[in-house]
Amino acid sequence: MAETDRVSPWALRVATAAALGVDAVVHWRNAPAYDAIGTTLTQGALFRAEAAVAVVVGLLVLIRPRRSSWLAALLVGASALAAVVLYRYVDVGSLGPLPDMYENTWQVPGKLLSAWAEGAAVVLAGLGLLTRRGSPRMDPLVAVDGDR
Amino acid sequence: MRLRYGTNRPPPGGRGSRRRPLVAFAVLLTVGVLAAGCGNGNSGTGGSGSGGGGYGYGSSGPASTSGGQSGAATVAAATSKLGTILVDGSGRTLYLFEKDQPNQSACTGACVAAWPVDQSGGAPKAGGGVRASLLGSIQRGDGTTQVTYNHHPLYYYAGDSQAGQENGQGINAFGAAWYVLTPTGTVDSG
Repeated sequence: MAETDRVSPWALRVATAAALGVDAVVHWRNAPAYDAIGTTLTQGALFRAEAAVAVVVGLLVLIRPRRSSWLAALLVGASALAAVVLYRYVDVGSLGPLPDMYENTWQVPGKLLSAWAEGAAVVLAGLGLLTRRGSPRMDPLVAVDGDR
Repeated sequence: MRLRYGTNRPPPGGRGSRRRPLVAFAVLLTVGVLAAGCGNGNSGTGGSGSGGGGYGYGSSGPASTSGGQSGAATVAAATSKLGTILVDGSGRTLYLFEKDQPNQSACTGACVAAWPVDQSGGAPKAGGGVRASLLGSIQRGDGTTQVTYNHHPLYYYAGDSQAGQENGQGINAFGAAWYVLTPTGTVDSG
């Protein structure tokens, strides 16, 4: 029981971290091509920040799979997916410090793969959150069975 | 009543174990999707002539993205649904990048993987319908030679798999739009 209990969460953690890792690698590798887009805050810098956050959160999920870690993974995946889909289909222009990142194509190295990985991270992190709801934790004082 | 610290571990066969197949299925599905993405996510993209990108690109797409360093590239004019546009010696569509400065390419790295440069192994040749006086070339940072027309560095689009396609027309990527050119060296935003 205890052993099988650990198997699924372990695979879930590895898969979530892998999905975030794919997201990180694609953003990191593509960042130089986007350094010229934007002024104070460039798209390349945002890509590097996304990569760094994805790595940190992926490690958190691996090492410390707490509810907050799963929640962070869900937020990172969801925000990245929302951004790539938004800028693929809607020309929103510059938003405050954010540069104009409109790009009406998927034909960018790794872009589609990264979007799939972000979607996978969302689903997996959601499942991770569910597993935390039923995870063992110390409860306050409870009555011992048969001793009432 | 006797009290102790306990846990709320679900009993065998309870909610936790019912969820396990779902989790395992999701993990397997994710691995499958990512594996498929690795294999297909970049399909239709072509090899970079100058070494940009490099992951998942280059195995499919245009058979030849440039005249290469082994020979001089040819630029010619061809009739397409967008009008008369510039193509290479084999009829493949050529594009300009609006972010480029005259005789200066702003496309490197991942950009070059998606938009392979039109390379030439010597002075480019003028084919039918183009002005030889507008043809030129520039040296890129990696030492390769890129064909220019009216001072616009020329590129292919990795999403074009054969002659006659103009799938890159009007795409906004890497910070600016990409267009085909007319024989006068201007943007054809058709």
